[in-house]
Amino acid sequence: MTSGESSCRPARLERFHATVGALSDGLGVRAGLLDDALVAYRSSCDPGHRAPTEDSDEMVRAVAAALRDLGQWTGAVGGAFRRAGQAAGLPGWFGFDGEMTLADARIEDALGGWSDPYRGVAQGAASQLAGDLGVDYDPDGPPAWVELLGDGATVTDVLGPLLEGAAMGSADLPPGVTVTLRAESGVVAVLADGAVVTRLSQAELSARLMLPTATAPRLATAATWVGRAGAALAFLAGAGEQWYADAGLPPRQRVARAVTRGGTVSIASVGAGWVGVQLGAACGPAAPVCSTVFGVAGAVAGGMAGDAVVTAFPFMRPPPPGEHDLDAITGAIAADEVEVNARVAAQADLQASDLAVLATADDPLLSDRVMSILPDDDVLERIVGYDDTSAPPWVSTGTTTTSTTAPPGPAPAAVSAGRPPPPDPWAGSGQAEP
Amino acid sequence: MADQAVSAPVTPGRFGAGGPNAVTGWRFDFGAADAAADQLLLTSQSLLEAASVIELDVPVVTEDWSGRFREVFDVETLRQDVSLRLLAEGLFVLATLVRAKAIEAAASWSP
Repeated sequence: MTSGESSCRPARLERFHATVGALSDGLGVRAGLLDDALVAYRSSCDPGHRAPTEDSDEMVRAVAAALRDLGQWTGAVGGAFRRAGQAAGLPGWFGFDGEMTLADARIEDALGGWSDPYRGVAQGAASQLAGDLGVDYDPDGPPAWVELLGDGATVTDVLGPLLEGAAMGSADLPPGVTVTLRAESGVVAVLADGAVVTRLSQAELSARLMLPTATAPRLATAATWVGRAGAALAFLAGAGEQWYADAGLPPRQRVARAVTRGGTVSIASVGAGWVGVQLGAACGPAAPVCSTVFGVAGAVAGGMAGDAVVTAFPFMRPPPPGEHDLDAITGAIAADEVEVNARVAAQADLQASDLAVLATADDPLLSDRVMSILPDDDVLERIVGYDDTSAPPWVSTGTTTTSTTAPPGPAPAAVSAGRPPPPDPWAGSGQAEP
Repeated sequence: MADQAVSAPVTPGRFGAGGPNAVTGWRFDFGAADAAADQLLLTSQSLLEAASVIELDVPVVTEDWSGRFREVFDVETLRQDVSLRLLAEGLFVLATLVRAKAIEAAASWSP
């Protein structure tokens, strides 16, 4: 490849478009569910006693829209490669998974509908970003940030260098700085102590975020609750990775694995159903009924047989790289019938307890009442520490006496199917009744 | 059946039903607060899941992809990843705030 040329596997870019579209669809559903709950919360709780949740659902929608836009652009680039390849006599049929190399000018011509085919990203920006993050940029390998995050870096680790790298005169950026993300006509400005330092994407975040080096005086200048949220965030910088670790699952692979497997089964199911329909067509006058029966039976058999079926029929090969069960992705992200993971809930309860204690520390009477209704820290810690691969710590193993009585009051969601639910850390809490 | 019972939505809330407070004059629905916190946590998890899917797909997409468009993709996916994870963490923090405020409300329910 020479300068002014680009290479890619167009089909993979187009499949990425489909995957990201499914993610965006799921986030859209999720934003709606979040909106419903927050509207009810705001309408039924006194403003003086509730957290500022306004626009939270809009943040999710904004992120989903930005994600969808990236997916559309990526798919468009893939399509442009394919069309330009066809025009140049290369094998560019839809779904062609091979690599092709073309002049950038050809791709730009085929990339209609995009006023800026490079989305305003300056040449050399990726290397600059990688440099800001302290990693090497290899244009022939996965993006540098994949390796960075794979090594355990968190968003806070990434954000700090990004902010410093993006800020003009970054030497003036203090080590502890209050960072606020705010929507500005669809573009998000990242403000550091009031000054715009960069624009990240079409997302917004009204909560203030503190860099890990945030200092006490700066915490003190923040509003009571929001400022403490920032402190909590610094503490929770690794929460994302930790959630996966707590769940005993490989980081970054839970949904992806599920949807990939689902894709295989789905294709097998559809393929076997097609076989059934073809067999049914041989039934003569009763073909429509016969086809339906064979088709359903074939689909069921396909779904059950899974990998065995796909290996038996050449046309039912496993999905190509990057192809997923899109419905499964949307459903997993929408999470409309899912409970909060007990460990995540326990982590939130631990943090909430600390926040409540801090916020009421200057009122001895109220502080005493708060202390009397807090959940059991030990139980919460045990739930958070449970790795889902050993016997739950709340199950007695040294005696045959096992209580089957449900604890009083609402209990936390079960950690996993087939496991006894953890004890209720709130069981000893006081009840507030009007 | 006990396992199924714990799957039910947390209503009316860990601190009871709440409602209008005849003494203080303010109102608080503890069930709505719990539901709001749960939805914030679920959304936070979904955002991280979305980031995980993209992160897993990126090496597949970028295999044999080089040139000017690839550079744009790298920069844009980094921005998206940061946005998803930032928002996920932000919503987690908001969920803790909702729960903390509910604790405070429960503690101050009776003057």
